[in-house]
Amino acid sequence: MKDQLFWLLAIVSTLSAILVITRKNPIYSALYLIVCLISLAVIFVILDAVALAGFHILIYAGAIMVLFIFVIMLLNLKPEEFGQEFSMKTKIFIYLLCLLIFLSLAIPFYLDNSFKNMPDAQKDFSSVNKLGSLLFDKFVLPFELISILVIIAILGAVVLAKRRI
Amino acid sequence: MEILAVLILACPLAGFLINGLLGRYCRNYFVSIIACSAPFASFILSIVTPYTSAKIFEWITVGGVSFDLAIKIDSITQVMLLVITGVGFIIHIYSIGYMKGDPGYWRYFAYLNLFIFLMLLLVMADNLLVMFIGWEGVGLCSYLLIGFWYKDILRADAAKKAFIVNRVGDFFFIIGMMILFSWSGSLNISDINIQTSSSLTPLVCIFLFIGACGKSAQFPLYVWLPDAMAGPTPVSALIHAATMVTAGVYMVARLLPLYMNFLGVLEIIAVIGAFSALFTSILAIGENNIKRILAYSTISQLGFMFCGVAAGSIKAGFFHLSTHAFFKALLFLTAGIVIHALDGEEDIRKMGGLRKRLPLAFWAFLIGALSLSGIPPFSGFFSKEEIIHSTYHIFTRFMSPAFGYLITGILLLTTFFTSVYIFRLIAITFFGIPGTQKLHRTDFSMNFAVIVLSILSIFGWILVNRWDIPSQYPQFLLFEYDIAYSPVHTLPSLVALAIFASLAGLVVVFLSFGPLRKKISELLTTKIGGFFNKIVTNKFYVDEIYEYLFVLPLNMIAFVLWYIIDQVIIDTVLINSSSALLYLLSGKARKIQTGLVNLAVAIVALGVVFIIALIFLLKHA
Amino acid sequence: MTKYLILSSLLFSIGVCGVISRRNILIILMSLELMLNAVNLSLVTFSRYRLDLQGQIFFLMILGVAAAEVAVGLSILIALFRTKKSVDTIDASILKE
Repeated sequence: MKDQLFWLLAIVSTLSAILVITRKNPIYSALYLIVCLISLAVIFVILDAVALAGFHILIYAGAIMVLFIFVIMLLNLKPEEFGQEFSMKTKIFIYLLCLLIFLSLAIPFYLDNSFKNMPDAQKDFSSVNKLGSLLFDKFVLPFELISILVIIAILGAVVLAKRRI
Repeated sequence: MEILAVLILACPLAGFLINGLLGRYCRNYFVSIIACSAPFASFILSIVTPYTSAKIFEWITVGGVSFDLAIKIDSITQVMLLVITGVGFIIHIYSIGYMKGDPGYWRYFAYLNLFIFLMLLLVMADNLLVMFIGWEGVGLCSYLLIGFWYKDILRADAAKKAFIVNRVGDFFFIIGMMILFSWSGSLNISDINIQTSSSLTPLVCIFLFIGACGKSAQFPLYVWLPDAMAGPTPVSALIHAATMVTAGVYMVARLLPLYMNFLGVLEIIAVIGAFSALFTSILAIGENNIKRILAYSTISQLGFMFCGVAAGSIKAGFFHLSTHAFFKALLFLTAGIVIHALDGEEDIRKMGGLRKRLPLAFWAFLIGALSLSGIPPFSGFFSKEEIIHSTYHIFTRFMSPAFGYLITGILLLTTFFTSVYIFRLIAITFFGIPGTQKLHRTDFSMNFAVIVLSILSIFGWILVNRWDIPSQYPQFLLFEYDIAYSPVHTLPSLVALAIFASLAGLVVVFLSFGPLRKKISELLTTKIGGFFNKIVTNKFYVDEIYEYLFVLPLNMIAFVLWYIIDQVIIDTVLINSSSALLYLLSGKARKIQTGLVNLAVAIVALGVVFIIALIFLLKHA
Repeated sequence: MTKYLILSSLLFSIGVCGVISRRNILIILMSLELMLNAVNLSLVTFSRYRLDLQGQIFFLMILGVAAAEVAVGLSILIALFRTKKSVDTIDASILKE
């Protein structure tokens, strides 16, 4: 069952990703990105990382994308202001380049034989408890640094967006 | 005692440094004091220093072989030391008067002292490398002094010619040294002289001899010496008569134990020496410049010395070297008095009748001439006798008799021609109708030097008598003398023949300027007479031959190299076009910076692809 | 597990394609988020494969960084929009040649 679910989700996320990058209107892109993020979250659940799935949806889809949509609405772009596109010739080159990137990443994974089998795991191999205990025990330094980073980001965002400093 | 030997070298060096660095700020008086005391001090030290050897310092050490700056004084060196410093000192005194008023006074004396230092280094050297320093160094001083009045382009060219021809000889010297070093492992003279023969030694000997030819102006490397007369007359006297040109003779004499293994090489040396002697004595008859006649005379007498040394008789060669130093310096200095008095005139056809107007010069010149032509009882007679007897006895005994007769015959013929040219010179310059121009006053120092040298030319042979040569050198003790010259194995007939040759020259000159004057001028206008006259006065066209053989091809090669290779190929094709190409390419490459974020990220992505591909390939290949 | 990684690399390359081929800065920022998420997926995959929770902790860190980065990026965009009155990258390319 997990397999089929995975294939379904793979198709959904890929399609929505492609749609993200090809829409002219940024609002459409944002919405498709939310679809992609939610499908990724479900994949996390398949991978027994339920807590992470929750965090993912909460923060990414819930906060970051909302911020995006706020800014898009704030900018209030008319359709002609959406930005020019490159010529078809350039786009072909770009698509080829990205194909190259995909191949260069995927082929080593495909050819490597050590990833074939996923080991069995207990049900609660990942839980909020375990994550929390790690976070405050072994990884307390990154945790604190992340909090400082967020403070700095807040300050930066406030300063940068002011009309007059 | 080694410190004395080092001091002999140090005095002229100190003189050079002081005069060279400070001389331009001092009055001429101080410059002359320092410059003249240096050779005098060396002279006194040379008399006093016993035979010794000293190692000054270890100079080059390479791969287990080391060359030291080592000097050695034995009897051969001592003769040279005394001649160099003694005659050098006298010429320094003379120069005080000759160069008075010249703006480069201090420079002249600095160069002279440097020359003395380097020449002393040459004769005191214990190994060939140090000798070569002196060898090259005196070549350099010769260049500096010939071109002393460098603003005159002709004199500068003469200096260049001297240095370049010298260099040709030095090239062979170096090759000889290298071959010698490669199979004997050492350049010490004592080591070289005990070498047994190998197949390369004759070649080495010949190469070293060619180097000696370059320095001592033997055929065919003699062409620089007549032109070297462009320098001041005392320079001609010191360098090109008494000392530098004898360096070649000294070198062959020093290495004589090596040369004695190869009689063929000695034959070659004798032939070249004799030929040079004869050839240049004929050339001197056709010359009209007083100093050039004396220059050819020097080459001729050097040929004599080489014959003497080639015969194995160092005594003969060096005896003649010493007496030649005396009378040739005398002749040059007296010529200098004449030139100085006539305000720079050197063409003898424009002189005449100076017998009454410059009496001291006349008598001094006469003494020098008599010594040169080998008329008894002047010094030149004894030394010339020694050489002629050596060649006769030794060559007939150790090589074929025919060879001995040939060489001795050539030398006797040369003696005849020597008399001819020198007495012709006296006849034209000092006899005849005197001119009327005002003569410059001769300085006391010049007269003093000339008088001293005259005395030496008459009695100098006595001083040279008493010396023994070291045991490893061939001891051809043909003559045992004491103060009363009593030769043991002299051949009275040979002596008579030599004196006859000298006097015959005198008689011929007397006749051709006296009773037979008309006949001689008629002879010169005939076809054959005119032809010979033309060849001789044009120096047998040797300079022209060299011009076509060597100078022109070299100039053409130089032009090709300069214009085609340097300017066209290197400058235009390689350098300019590569920079233009770079400019073009960078102009094109500049356009990559569009400022668009997208392009930048694209390039980063491309780089990432490359890196991944590289890692992947390296891991699996 | 390979399929998860291939999906991750696919999403990543789609994100790169988005960054390079679009000239609207908002879309570029969103493609950037897509790339980050692809990496997150591969992290979680490896963490599940090795049964080690470090990968998931790293995931949380990346999450935080992404949030901060989006905030600052969007405020820069607003500042840029104020001066250039456009969200096209070509209007921001002053550093030419």
